Amino acid sequence: MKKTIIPFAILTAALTMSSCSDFLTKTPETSLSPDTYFSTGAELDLWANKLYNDLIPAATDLAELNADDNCSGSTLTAVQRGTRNPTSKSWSADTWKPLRNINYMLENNKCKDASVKDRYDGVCYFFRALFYYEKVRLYGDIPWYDHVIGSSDKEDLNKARDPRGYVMLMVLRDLDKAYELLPAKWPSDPVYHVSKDAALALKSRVALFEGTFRKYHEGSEYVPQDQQTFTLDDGTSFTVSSTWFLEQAADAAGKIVGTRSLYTDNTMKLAPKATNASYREYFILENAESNETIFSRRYNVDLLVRHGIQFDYKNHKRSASARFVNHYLQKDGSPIQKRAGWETMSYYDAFQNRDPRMAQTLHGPGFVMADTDNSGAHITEALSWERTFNGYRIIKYISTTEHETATTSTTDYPVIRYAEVLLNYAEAKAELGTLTAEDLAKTVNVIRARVGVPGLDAVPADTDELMEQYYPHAKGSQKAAILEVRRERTVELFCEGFRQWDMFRWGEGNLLTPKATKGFQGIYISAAEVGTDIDLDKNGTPDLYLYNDNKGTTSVPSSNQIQLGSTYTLSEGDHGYLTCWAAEEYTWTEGRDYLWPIPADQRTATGYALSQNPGWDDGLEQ
Amino acid sequence: MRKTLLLTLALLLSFGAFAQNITLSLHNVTVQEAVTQLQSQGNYTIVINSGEVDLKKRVSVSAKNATLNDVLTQIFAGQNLDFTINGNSVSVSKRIPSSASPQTAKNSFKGVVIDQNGDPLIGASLIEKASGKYAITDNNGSFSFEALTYPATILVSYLGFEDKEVTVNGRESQPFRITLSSDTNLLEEIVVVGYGTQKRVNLTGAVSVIDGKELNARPVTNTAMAIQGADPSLVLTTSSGSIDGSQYSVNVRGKVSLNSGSPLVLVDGVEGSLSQVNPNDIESVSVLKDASACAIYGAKASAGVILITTKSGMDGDAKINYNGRFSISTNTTSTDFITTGYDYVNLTNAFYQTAKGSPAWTYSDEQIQMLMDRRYDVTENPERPWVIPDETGTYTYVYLGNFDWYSYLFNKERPETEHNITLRGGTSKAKYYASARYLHRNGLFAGNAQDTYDGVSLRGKVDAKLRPWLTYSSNISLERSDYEWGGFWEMDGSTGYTSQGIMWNITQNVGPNYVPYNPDGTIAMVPGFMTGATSPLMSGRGGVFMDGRNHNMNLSNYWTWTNRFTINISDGLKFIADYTYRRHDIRRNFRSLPSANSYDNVNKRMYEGNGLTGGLFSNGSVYDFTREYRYMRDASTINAYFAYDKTSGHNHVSATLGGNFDDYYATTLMIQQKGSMSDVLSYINMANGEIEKATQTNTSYRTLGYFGRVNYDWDGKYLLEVSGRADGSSRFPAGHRWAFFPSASAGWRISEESFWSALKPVISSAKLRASYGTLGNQQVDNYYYWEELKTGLLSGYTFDGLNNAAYAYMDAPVSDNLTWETVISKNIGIDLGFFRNRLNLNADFFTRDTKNMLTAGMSLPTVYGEAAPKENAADLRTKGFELSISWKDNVTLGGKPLYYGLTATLGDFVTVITRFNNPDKLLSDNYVGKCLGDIWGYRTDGLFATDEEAAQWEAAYDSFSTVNKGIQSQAAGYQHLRAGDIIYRDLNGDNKINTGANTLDNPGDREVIGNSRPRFNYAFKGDFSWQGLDLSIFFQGVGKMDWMPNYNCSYFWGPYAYQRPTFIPSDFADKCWTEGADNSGAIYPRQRGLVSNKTNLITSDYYLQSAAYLRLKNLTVGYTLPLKTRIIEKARVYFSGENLFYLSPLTKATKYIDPEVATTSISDDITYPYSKTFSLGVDITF
Repeated sequence: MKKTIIPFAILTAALTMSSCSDFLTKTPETSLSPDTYFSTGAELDLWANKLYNDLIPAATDLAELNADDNCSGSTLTAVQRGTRNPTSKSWSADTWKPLRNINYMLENNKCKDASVKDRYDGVCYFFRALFYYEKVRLYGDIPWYDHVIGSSDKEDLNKARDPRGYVMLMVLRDLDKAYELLPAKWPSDPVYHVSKDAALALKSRVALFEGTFRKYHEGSEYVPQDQQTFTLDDGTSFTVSSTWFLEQAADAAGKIVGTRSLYTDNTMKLAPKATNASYREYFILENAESNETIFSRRYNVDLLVRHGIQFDYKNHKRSASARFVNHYLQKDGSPIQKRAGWETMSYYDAFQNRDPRMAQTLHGPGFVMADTDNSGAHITEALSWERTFNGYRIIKYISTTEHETATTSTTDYPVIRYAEVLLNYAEAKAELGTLTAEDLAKTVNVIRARVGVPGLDAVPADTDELMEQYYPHAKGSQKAAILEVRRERTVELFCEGFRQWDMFRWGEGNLLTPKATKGFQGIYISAAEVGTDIDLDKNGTPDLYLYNDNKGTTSVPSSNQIQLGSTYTLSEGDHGYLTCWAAEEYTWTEGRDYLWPIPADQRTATGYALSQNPGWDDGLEQ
Repeated sequence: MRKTLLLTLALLLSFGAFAQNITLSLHNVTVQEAVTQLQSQGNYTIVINSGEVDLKKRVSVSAKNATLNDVLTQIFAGQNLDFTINGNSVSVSKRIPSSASPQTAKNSFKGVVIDQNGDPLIGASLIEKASGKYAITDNNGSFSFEALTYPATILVSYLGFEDKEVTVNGRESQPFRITLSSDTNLLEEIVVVGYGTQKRVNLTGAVSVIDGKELNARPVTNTAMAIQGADPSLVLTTSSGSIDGSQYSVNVRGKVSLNSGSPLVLVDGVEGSLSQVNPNDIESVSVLKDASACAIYGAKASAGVILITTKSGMDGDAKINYNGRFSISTNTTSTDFITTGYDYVNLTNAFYQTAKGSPAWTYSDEQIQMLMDRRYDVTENPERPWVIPDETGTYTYVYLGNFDWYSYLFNKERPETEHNITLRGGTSKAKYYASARYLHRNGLFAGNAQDTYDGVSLRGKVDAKLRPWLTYSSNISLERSDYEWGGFWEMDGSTGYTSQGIMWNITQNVGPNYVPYNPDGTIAMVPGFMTGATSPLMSGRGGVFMDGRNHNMNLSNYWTWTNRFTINISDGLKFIADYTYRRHDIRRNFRSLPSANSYDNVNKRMYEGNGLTGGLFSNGSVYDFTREYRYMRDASTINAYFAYDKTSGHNHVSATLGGNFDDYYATTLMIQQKGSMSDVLSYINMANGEIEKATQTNTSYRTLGYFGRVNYDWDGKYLLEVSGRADGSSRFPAGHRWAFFPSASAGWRISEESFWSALKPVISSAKLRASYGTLGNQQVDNYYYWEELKTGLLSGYTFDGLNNAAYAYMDAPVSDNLTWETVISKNIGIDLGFFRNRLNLNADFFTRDTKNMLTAGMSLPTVYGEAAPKENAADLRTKGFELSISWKDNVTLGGKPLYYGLTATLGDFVTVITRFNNPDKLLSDNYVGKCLGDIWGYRTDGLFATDEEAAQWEAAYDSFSTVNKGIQSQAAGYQHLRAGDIIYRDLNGDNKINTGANTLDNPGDREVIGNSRPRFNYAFKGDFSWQGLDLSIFFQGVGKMDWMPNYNCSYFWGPYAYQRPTFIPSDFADKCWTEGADNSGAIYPRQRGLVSNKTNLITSDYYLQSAAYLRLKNLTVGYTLPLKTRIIEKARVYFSGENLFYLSPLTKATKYIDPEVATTSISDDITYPYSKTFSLGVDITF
């Protein structure tokens, strides 16, 4: 009996003991699992790639954001119309998914090579900051999660919103970590992965946003209290305020200012009079250059990775506003209102003696495409109302003719570039009231120098009346400088995804819509020109024919024969700015529209843990 | 002279109960010593009835494997004595002078048969073995034989009592009293339960036993088919009559979970499948139905357990059995389709005219006339050829055939043969069993696509007593099948090899007007004449069907080897340990080629495809490739347990305690490569084209369980069983890996109580049972708790400009709160035996609650960042009963005994969802209160009698965007309701016929019109044997089952759903409502094309069919030849018919669809048909 018990005892012991360990764990062999994944650089890289894909905006998202400076000819945004509603902006699981993925990698990253592990942690911190920055822009207060939410974790799922100040503090801390952990340059490429400079640049962008938002909304329902103190889990305590954020912005940007240079090549020779057109050229490079570019999104036609900006611009007749055009200085650095009759200038005149960026941004007289014909001459293209609805056709990002289909726009898109950092720095300093002539020399003047416009020798003391009219809420000890920096920012960063958000943070939402101008205004047309063939660019060929009720005879192409009255009007009736979208209703509700509403279904789903943003009535009582 | 000495030697020894062959070697001992020695060899009782026996005489005995008679003869040599051997009792008496025998032989021999109480047994049968003379007791229990040749051995049998053999020499005092003792076998009957056996009388859980003899008697090749109807708790659904019988699903007491959950099948204690056991090997099948019976198997057993025990060796000389048969299978359903081109074209034209305003065919009036001319040409008349040149120039050929495509494509009669040989025997030290079976079947497909199935089953079992305390057993089996077919390669997904692909492809666009070959010998590939289509015949598979070059195979091998040691530790305590290795290999090989010499009649050209010349047709599925698929499964099982059994006084205790470990690994590999240097070789190395597919899957799991069971009974009256199992499974995350499942059951054999004695003559036995238990369900995906990361390429992102960025992502998050699905089962049962247990009644009633089924959870706040993972969020409850009643007796027929048994069973259950996350109770999903299988549909009031009535209704009710959308989209002139269209009932009175909000509260005008689950499963069985003749008859059926034909069921819908359905029942037109005819028997409404197709199908009670059925499952007639030679011990010939006929209300609508396959999804179209089989066989034992 003893003999027989022994083997059984051994067997039982073997089974029992083994059951204590991983004996019953079976790992999938044909799919990866978090237990085994996240151990090598290659694995981390694949996961990180998805973050880029999900969180880096597509080129068209940035280049095509309607605002006061540019607009689509086919649709207005709900923001412009004032027709947002409590479900109009997505708070879907898909929009929260990237955060889950980021936190998932941070929780599971177990790469033994510390330098590799750090690098990808840095990527995660960068993207978590970007994620929350964009969420705060939309919603203000937002629940902050630095870990993966469990499906049964009611506390997390029904978490109340954290104050925006707290979230932005955490965002800046994430960016500090990202700056610390990310490489200065990735071994594989200089611009297509986020780097230390990208973290700094984003930090300056985020901090400037929050600093100015707090400054210009202080005391309103959006920022009832500017100065707030938060004690973190580790016991450290931070007091944030608009000043603190602006200092953070200046500090982050200041680390980059002076370390890079702007793109100045002129290989394409796109300017009509052999002047330097490196500004325009920079935005149609097939492969981003790496001095000005801090981070870029890559496109490639062979891989079917393309953005279609050129196609969309054409399809939507994307055009700039007269308001925007008036931001352009004259070539000598003086404002346009110094020119006599500046308000009734013709299309042709408007382009004369202006900041060269104007003709590199808008279709001006003598515009050429980037491609050349057999003789080596650039392809010319007449201004066509198939590509603009008000005469100020946008040609930033417009490259060769063959890029103009839905599937062929493949120029790289700079998501973060040095010029923005320079402007962030100058703006933060100006808002703080600490801007110096040296600061201007390092920033605004560098930008102007590229296009040959004289810089500012001293911090401006006198406010520009037009800028003051355009930005009535600007304030501060260096108000004149603030306005000049805003002008510079407006023209330099046109159609790069900033304008709407800039107007929001500056508290100028009311001017975001074309409400005041009763429609979106373009080129100026005199009364005499109506009913005649107009040679806009003065090249001898008529370009435009405007008529009221009866179309007379005209030699312009049918696409450029425009009937006035419904879609198109002139701002003064028989003359004035060629105006579109005049019949639209525009509303701007100051105490409501700077933030998006929290979707009502999510407020009920969380048991009203989520409070509603000011001014929004979603029909729920709580 | 001493008085008669009565010497009685009565040594009762209970040692080695099986020693029948005596080996004894004695030298010079007294007779008395020799007798004592002999008695010590076995439990013989030797009674010496004579004082004349010299017990002191010295004798020598030398016997080796000798019979008792031989040994006795040696012991009593030289003495004038007779030995009467009756079982283990021997009586020795003085030999009567031989002259006396003839006289007494002439006299009758009278006697009486009584039971232990002395009461006469009426109707007991007696057979004199040598002569076959026969007698039956009368009302007094008396019998008489006219004349016997002495010594005569008489076999006495009476139902409920043990058989008894007595040898008489005619000198016994008459009437000779024969006492029978009641059949303890019935009480002692052993039932296989989890990790052990139990006496049937002591069972407290719900367990059914199917005797292997019942299965062996029928010529079914597949165990799954064999057990259908054998127990009312077993619900077997067949989705087609696939050649290997693999297209079935079986459940015990219904669906245990909305997720998967199928019964655990154990073959000799090792996981297996029903289709992998040769039914001839089966000794018995136990079906464990409630949690109490299943608990010892833990988490794999939540859906019930089917225990199959195979035959083992036995003591005694080898028995060799050969069982062979030849069978022919035919369809159970009609194959009488329209085969006249004229009628086919006319009918489909008429239907399509209503749908699209044009005929389905582009034949000219003149060509239609030519079709009509040929209408009665069953074979082609040379004067009126079926393919003629097209003189209009549209095509090259005009097809005007009356071609019977069904007979061309399929074998209506399918032969099969089976040979089965078993060897069985052994000694007290070693027993063996070996069997081999070969099965050959010809399949459905005819001609070059012919499919064949060859199955080989081998099993070898040895039990060797290595030491008095140690037994080793080995059990090896191989189940091999080889299915090969020509023609199109496609199989039906992964479920089997029913060639569903080709079955589906021939359902449309192949009319009898077409013929397979053009006069020039080319295949009529794109024959033309189809309105709005230029389809190739059978989507291009037609040519492949005829092309002899394609070759496909599916080869499968199941290996199982169990090694077991049984250690007798002490009296009543055993330790059993076994190790089993299981392996399953599959090899599939497809060689696909374009079809040869195919002609495109539409474009008037030979095909030139795939870079080849010579008119080869290829398309997306038909082209030149070789595919090889390999599957390999490796599994190991270890069991180790103690078994204890002890009786002390009134107390009887048995217990089992042990552990079980399972390890499982499976992998697949598939490669498909284009092109080949050889048409003949299906070999990847011969392929020279692009590798199209190369895929691999691996999967594995492990389980570890500790189980225990204690049975206690007091005096056989009060029975109690407690069992439980702790299970760990790799399918669950570490924190949730282990779970314990307890159960208990109790029984009361009320008939053993003293107060019952008055009832005993009527109710001989009565037992009440009750059980309660909990089981977990581990039948989830092997890795379901893993958050699986997958990889892919980002279509919109690149970093290096050379490649799309690769990425990794989480497939789907898993709930962090997963628990086991739990099954709680309650069972009460009663077992009654009446009239000496000739009538038996068993009834079980059960409730089974399945808790925490993994289904879609409540939606989570979106900050979660993913779709809500599945949660343990649903419950369901099944309630049901099983009833079985049987009667066994014998009567006299023509002076000979007729043994017969009759059995009837009935079972039913209903499953209702008691928790489900569907707060709005949307009917598109499960909802609380839903009865599984419920069919929601519209109610109807028959057909409109007149156009006026129809027009009025059309004006009064809004129905055109819903139920009558099919009519609205008809061709101009047919877009309004007419006489013969269906009248839908406006249930909610809103003058709109619609689905409302599609919720339970607002279902519009729909209600539950039926239920698709089989209800009231029943069976009747009868067995009769008389004078070597035996007859068994077995009916099986379903009492209630509703079926709404799916849109693609072309046998049912014909041209109502398809423009040109291939096979239209010949009586189809008669069943359609016809203008001006007597339409009282119309099954279908007004003829309208495409009103029942995919987009227009409306579920209503008008079309709902009852698929209830009664089927004569089996009828077997056998005759055991009255021959007994030195070689042949027994020989029986038999005829057997399987699935001979069925009765069903469905036949009113269609005789083309078998009700048993109708409700399963695969039957939506033409499937591998369900077969009826006629067999002729012999069964010979040597």
